[in-house]
Amino acid sequence: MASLQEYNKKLRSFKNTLKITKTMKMVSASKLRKAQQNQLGTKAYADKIRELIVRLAGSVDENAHPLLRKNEDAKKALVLVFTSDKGLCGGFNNYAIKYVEKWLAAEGASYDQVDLGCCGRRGFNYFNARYENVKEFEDVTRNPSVAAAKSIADGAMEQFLSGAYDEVFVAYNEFHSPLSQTPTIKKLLPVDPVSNREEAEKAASEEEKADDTEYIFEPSKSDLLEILFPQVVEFSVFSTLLENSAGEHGARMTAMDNATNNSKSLIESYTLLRNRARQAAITTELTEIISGAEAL
Amino acid sequence: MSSFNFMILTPTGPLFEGEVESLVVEATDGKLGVLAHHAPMVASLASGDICIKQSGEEKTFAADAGLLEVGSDGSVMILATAVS
Repeated sequence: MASLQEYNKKLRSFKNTLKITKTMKMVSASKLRKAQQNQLGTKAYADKIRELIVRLAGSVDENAHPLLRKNEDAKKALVLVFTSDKGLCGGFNNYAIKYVEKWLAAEGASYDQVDLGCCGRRGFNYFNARYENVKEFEDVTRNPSVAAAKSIADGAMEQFLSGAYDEVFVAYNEFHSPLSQTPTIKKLLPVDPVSNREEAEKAASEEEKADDTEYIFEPSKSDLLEILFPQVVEFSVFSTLLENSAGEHGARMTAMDNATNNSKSLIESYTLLRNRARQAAITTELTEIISGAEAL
Repeated sequence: MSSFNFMILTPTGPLFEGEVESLVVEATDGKLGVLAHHAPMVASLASGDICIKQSGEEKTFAADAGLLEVGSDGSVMILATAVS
C-alpha cells in the first residue's frame, strides 16, 4: 500500500486536472454556442442561394459552365481535409484522418494521383509525415472566415479549371450534435449538376405553382450563373469550415466532460484509499504507543 | 414616398433589414436604382457602394460582388460575400 503522502500528492494532481478539464469544457461550450450561431446565420444565405440557382438553373446545360464539366475518367484528385488545429477533443481528428485513409485505400486507388490539402494542423501533421505533396492552409479552422474560405475555394477552382485536378473533394466531420459527428467525404468540384438538378426541378415545380412571375435577368441567365457558381463553391467551403469548427468544439466539450467525470470518480476512490492509509497509520502509531507503555 | 422591404444577406448572417424608400447599387452593367414596386428582377452586382434611403436619410454600405433580387412581392434582397 502506498503511503499517505503519496496518496495526497496523487489527489492534488487529480484535483488540478479536474480544474483544467472543467474549465476547458465550459470554454468549449461557449465556443460551441458561438459556432452554432454562426451556422444559423448562414442558413438564410444558403436558402436564398439555393433558391436563386433553382430559378436560374432550369435552363442550364450541363456543359454550360466549366465548373460543371465532368471528366469521365478522372485521373487526378485533390482532397481537402478539414481537421482542428488543436487536440484534446476525443476522436474528432482521428476519425476524420482514419476515414480519409480508408477512402484513399478504397476509392483513391482508381486515381493516378491523389493530393491532399489540409485545413487544420492536426490533419497536416499526420498526413505530411506519411504522404507526399501535402499542402497546408494555415490558420483557417480556428476562426472560420469568409476570406479564408474564399482563398481555399479560389485555389481549388483555379487548379480545377487549369486541369491540374479533375476532381476536388472535401473531407470533414459532419456535425449532428455535440455528442455525434461522423466523418464524410463529399465532392466539391465539379459541381454536381444531377443532384442539383433533381432538387432544382422539384423545387421549381413547387415554385411554379406558387409564383409564375416573369423575372428580368440582368445580365443574361447564363452570365448570372457564371457569377453564382463560384459563390456556391466558396460558400460550401465556408459552411464546411463552420461545421468543422462546431464539431471540434462539440467534440472537445464531450471529451472534457468525460475527463471531468473520470477525474471526479478517481478523486472519490483515491480519497477512500487515502483515508484508509491514514487510519492504518494511526492504528500503527497507537499500537506502538500502547505496546511502548506496556513495556514500562 | 412608398417604401419596400430591403435586406442584405452575407454568409455570416443578415447585415441589414428594414423598410427603405430607394436603393442605388453598382450593377455589372452600370449603376442601378430601385424604387418601390419594381418588377421582379435578378441582377449581378460589381463591388461598390450600396446606397439606401431610409426615412429620408441616406446610408451607404461597401460591398463585394454579389447578386440582387427583387422578389415578386416587391421585397429586395442583396446577396454579397463581404459587406461593411
